[in-house]
Amino acid sequence: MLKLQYVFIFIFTLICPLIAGAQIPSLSEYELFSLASQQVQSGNLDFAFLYFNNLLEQFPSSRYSEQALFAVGEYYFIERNYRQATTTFLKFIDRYPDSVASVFALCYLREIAQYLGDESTTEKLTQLIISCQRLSLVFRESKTISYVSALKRKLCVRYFIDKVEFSINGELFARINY
Amino acid sequence: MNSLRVSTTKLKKRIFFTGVILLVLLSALIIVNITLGFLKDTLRTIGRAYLPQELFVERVLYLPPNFIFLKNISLVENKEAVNRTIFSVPLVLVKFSIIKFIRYGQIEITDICFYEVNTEEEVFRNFLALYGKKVIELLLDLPKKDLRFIVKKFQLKQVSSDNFEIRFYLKLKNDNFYSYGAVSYINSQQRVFLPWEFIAYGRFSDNDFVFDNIEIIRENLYTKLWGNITRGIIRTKGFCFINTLFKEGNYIAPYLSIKERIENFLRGFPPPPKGGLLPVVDLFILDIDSVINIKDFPKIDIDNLSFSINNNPVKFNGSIVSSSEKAIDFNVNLSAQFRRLKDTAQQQLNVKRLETLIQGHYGEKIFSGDILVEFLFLQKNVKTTPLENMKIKLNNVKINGQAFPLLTADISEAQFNILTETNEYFLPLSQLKIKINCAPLKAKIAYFHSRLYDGILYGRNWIDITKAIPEVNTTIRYKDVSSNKLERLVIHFAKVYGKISGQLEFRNVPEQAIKGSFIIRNGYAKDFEFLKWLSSSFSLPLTQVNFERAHSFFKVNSQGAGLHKLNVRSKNIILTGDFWLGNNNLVTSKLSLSIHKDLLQNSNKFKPLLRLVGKEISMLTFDFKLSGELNNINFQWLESDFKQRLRDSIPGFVEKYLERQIEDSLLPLSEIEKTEK
Repeated sequence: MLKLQYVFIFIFTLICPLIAGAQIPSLSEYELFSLASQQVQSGNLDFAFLYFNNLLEQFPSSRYSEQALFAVGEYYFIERNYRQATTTFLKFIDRYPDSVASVFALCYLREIAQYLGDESTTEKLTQLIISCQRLSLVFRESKTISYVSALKRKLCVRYFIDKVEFSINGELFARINY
Repeated sequence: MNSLRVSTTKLKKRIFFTGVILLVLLSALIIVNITLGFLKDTLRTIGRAYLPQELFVERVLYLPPNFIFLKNISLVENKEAVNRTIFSVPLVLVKFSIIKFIRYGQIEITDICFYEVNTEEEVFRNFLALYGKKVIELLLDLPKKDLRFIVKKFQLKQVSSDNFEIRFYLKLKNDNFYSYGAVSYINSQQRVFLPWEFIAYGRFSDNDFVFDNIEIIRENLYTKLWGNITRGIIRTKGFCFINTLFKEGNYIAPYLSIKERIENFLRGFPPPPKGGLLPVVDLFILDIDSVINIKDFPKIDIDNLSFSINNNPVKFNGSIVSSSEKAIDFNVNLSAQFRRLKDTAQQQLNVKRLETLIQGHYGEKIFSGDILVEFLFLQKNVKTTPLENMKIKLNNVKINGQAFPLLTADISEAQFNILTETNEYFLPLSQLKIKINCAPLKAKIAYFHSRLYDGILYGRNWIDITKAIPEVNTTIRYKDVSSNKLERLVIHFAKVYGKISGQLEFRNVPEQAIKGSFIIRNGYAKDFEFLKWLSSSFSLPLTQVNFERAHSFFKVNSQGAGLHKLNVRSKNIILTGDFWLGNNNLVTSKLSLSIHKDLLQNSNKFKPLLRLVGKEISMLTFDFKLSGELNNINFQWLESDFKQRLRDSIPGFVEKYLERQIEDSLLPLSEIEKTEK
């Protein structure tokens, strides 16, 4: 079983540059996004990433590019490629500041900064996350924003009066007290 | 028998010759002494050539082999028929070289010893101010010969019957000089203070006076200077160590053994002091470098005077002019840089530079003039308050030091401008009176009293200057000040009217912090944007809220600023709670707003809700929590009976509708807050 994995990695390593370098002609933006989504459904995040990347290269202004860009950032985060993840999420926030997902991009960036021990960036990102939402809780206890990413991850943020909680697929991902 | 007769004759002859020699010597002595009597007039004539005062010498006496005694010398001012003694010397011993006298027949003075010199400080100072230059000329005109000059006791009597006693030894050889001595202070109660001892040596030529070493030594001080005086310009370098915690006791002269006493007697003067490092030092003045121009004396131009105090560089320049016998005019500029050191305690002091400009006049121990002090602060770090600049302008200042160590200051106008990263604050004081005790205590305490607009301000400032970073604790009380006039100090007071009183305390250790409280009685708040929003959103007549009492504690520190136990009470509204704004601009607050039912009756929006409130309840209380960014405050209505009743009485969709409505109504408030800021 372990041998098979090594064989797969070897073939994948050989194929990757070919796929990355090659254009996939004749596929529309929709088709590329659908293919990527199918790969996500099948659990092949690496192939999904390649499709999303291709979509972003071929159709930068596509209606799917917002989701694709976030998915690419998420992929890098999952792969612990924090440098690429930071670049991608910053690009995402820059391009889609009003997107529902921008608060999650900020959360990912904060987690990366915290992991890298960058206190001042963590502090700035914390403030940005806090100021993302104006709360007025009359009867409610919290305000919830949800987003399902192209990688089929259910992201959820709950704004309380004195804390913000992020969860992914129902599991607590980050908590900010203030 | 014959031999006996011969020896008797020889003895008689010897006695006779001895008698003759003695007679001749006595006659010579008498003749010399009679001749020296004329020296009195010669000295008088020399004195007249240089000074308008009369120099009197009562008696000149020669004693073999080479001693000349001058008795009762005095310099007398004989203006307007008033004889005023400038100084008097009971006895002077002059020695001359016997060898040179025998060889060349010249009287060359080798030693001058003043046993005692008496003068009054004021008379002597005036004499020096007027004729100091001429005295120097007289000394320079004297033949440049090797000389030993001793003053055993120079008494400088003060008006206050305090005394300064100076003794010094000066040896001139070729073009070199060597001097040492001591200055002692004896107060009117005859308490003798620890002397200031000194050693100085160097060389001089026609245009140049080089001092290779000047050491000032005391149990709590050691100073070493070196430099030169060339064509009226004094250049000095050096350093100084001081123990400011030293407690001055009664000075008891050290016990001398018989051997030491004999040595002193033979030397004619005590030995030079022994210098060296002090056991305890808390004030280091290093890298002294000065260029002082005295060409136009009495005007003294300080072209540069720089040094470092405990590693903080200080620069000084300006001019000082002696405008009269007793007064001097100032125009000086002081600049001090404060270096941040690595230890945590010093990181809290973020003063970068101090600039001072002093213009004024000093005389009779009174300074009068104007002072400008400016502090520049380093960029804020986590542990410091966000100060950028603080300017203190003091106009028409009068500092009186006549009752020293108690100093009093009267300042007609004092303006304080404080600039932080976000705001500018202004505090004008008038008729400010300050009393400072400058006694050598660990802490200096100043008391002050002033007018602040139409009210008063008074308090106390405590400062411990023995620490590398002075420890400061200031307590201020203010009374009956029109609160709206304080708008340049606290912007929110611009719309609050009434007389404010309170107190605040500032301390810089363990961290810089201000805390205090205020109370405003019988005032009103008008045109507050929050009140405007409340009245327009909920149709409440709240553009002006009259209150009987508004009270709160406040605190400002490196973490932020806030109000604690805020309590505003009016007929229809009570607001209580805490409000804290952190350094990160994040708000943490819990407030309780109680509105009287009568007031809510006027609101179309609240009126329908009043049926939910029991008749026995006169005020409706809304407890809420605030959080988030100041410009984007989050709001939560906390649980209460009224909230529960309201929830129970409305269906779920109405609840959501209300939620949305309030959310929408809060949006304009965020815009208001932005404009308020």
